Amino acid sequence: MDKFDRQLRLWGKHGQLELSKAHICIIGNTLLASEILKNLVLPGATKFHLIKETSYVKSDCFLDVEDLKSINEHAEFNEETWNAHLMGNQEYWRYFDLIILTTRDVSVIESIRCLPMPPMLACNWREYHGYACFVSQEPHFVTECHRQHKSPDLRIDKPPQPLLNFYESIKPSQLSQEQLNDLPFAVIIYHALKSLKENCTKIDRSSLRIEIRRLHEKTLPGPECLNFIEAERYLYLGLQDSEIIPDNLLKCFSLASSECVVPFNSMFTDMISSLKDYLKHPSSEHQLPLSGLIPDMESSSEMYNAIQEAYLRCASKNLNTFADIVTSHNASVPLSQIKNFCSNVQNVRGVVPASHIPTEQDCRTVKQITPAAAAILRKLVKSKHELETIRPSFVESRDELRYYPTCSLLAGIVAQEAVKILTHQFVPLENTLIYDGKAGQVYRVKL
Amino acid sequence: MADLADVSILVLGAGGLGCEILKNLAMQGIPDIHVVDMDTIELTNLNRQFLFRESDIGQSKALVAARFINEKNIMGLGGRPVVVTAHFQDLTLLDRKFIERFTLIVSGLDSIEARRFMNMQLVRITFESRFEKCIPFIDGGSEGLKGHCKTIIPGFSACYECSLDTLPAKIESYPLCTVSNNPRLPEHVIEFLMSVQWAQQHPDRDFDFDSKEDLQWLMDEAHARARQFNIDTSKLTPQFVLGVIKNIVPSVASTNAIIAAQCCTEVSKLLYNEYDIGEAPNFLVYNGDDGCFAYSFVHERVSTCLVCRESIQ
Repeated sequence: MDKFDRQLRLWGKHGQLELSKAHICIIGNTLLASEILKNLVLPGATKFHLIKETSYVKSDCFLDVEDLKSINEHAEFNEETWNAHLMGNQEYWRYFDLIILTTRDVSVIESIRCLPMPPMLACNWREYHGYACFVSQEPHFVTECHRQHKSPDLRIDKPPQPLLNFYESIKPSQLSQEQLNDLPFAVIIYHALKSLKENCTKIDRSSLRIEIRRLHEKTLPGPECLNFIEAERYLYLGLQDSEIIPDNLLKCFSLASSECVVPFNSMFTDMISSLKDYLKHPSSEHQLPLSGLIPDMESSSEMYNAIQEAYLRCASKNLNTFADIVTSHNASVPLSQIKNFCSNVQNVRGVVPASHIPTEQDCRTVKQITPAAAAILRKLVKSKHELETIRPSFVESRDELRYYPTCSLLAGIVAQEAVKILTHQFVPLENTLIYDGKAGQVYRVKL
Repeated sequence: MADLADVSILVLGAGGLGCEILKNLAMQGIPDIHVVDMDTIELTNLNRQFLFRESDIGQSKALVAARFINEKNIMGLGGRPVVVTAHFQDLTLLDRKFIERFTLIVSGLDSIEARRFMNMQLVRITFESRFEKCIPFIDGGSEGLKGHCKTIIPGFSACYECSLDTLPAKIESYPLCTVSNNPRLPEHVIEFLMSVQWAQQHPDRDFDFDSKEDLQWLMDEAHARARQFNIDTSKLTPQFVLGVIKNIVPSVASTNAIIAAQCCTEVSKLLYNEYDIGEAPNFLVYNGDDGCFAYSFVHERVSTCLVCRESIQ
């Protein structure tokens, strides 16, 4: 067994690889930074660049860099002190995959505020309150959002030619009672729809149900047929329009017009423009590439294998057509990415991050939507003066100890979002989270 | 609440959540912390259980966790050093007297039965002391990028049993006729081997999940049966098979950090009299699958609850 087994089940070996090679820069020698670092070293990130403020005060972290090295001996930690001249230049930042801003030093924040930076997570906390904000100059795209419950992609309403051939190869009227009991529900729904169309009956939920039952009756009397029960349960799949492009994908279409620097995002936008061409291609029949994945359906092993094969064959045909188009746009997109895109195309997502590190100005916008959240955000982004009075090391003041979990919670959220952003798996925060531990509330706002 | 320097907290479980809870409580300055866990450290714990190293594999989680924190020499509330005491044992064998000495109990367990046991004990303590003694019980749970935190004030707010219906039902099962006659998925194949074929071939003993030979038997038979029914065998890796038979749930450091921290924030609010019983949300759910979703609410007591109903009468 692999040490990472429990998380490979979430983001797979390819996600793990992205995480292990990502170059992460953490700004601020804070308690929050130490907790975030721990939460990133544990799942296997290895390349860290740590920037300490010049107003550096040693805070009493639970784990220091030596402890972290003992968690993962391959992890590298480059430590550097803030240098306004060097780091006030955008060139300095461009090689990082992700920046995590934890510092409370306003001069540091001000010097990078206006620079075009790689994707960044800005965060801060105080007492029971905290915020985390995903900042980026470009949209963020996700191919694998890992929805736990997906609607099956079967195209029963308008099967593309290869699927149509399969469905037409089965003639329910010529089947014995036993063979009818073996029909997967998709076949039942297809033929029910077909006979409705032939009789020019209006297709809706109830007419389709009646038609499925009519077919079901042919198997009676006999034992209960699970496949017909499934057909009724899934009949909504027959009422879908397979030419409709889902909203999440339309959002990606509109976001894909922006110029992207992050390699994954730019590859994704190339695939989106290829997809537009694909939909105009005659063999697509105005439908998205088929994923080929089908749900389990009550039927015999042979029958199930046959329908699965039909879907996989059609999916692979779609994939080839799509891959040709992508390659003609950009030959450097790896086939594994094209394949991944095709099998997830119904569920791809685009997220709009905040364009800048939150300011007091933003609090006014937030106030109109959630006043409680605005008050917290204001406290956390507020003027220079107040922030400097917060002691980075609060261990001497005993009362402050009670707030440690807020720091820990925020570090968990920031690390989780960091992994999502770096692997482009799971949908990250869009785009700001405000935590109120006192009231036990979490607010999400778009800056 | 009592004088902060006299606070003692019992932590149930020293796993993914337990390590985080122990670290937080130590950093919160809780001087007297006890931890109970009957598990030993395994390789697959190390992606999140940061109090353990590879050299600790096979040792007691509770003992190693306690040693790690004690070696940090953290100064706690009232000038007392933070001391963690380990109990390498089954928590359902803890006696009432032992449980009664704690100010608060925080749990980071994966077992529902162990939580129900502790919940019942704590509700009894409140009732039998005629509400003189009440030990709050804070329960965290996590799976993948999801988790929850429940704050239970036994006898006063919804107990663990009151919200039992919020838990998902047990693992999905497949009809026997499918797995034996019409297997279509690799899961069907494994289910048949585990529930039918093993007993036929080994009537004398149960399947041993820790035995290499038994797992090899399962892998070989699974491939053979999958081929027989033309089922794609590429999915049948040892990781997949183990995941199915042991019902392994994914687990990551970040979710544990979030849930454990929420539990410990509840500890702080209770200790510093910032918790409003009955008004404060006592149930928080977190889901990081799609964006960062968290929602908290007041879970009401259930008047028919078999554990805590007597005081409502």
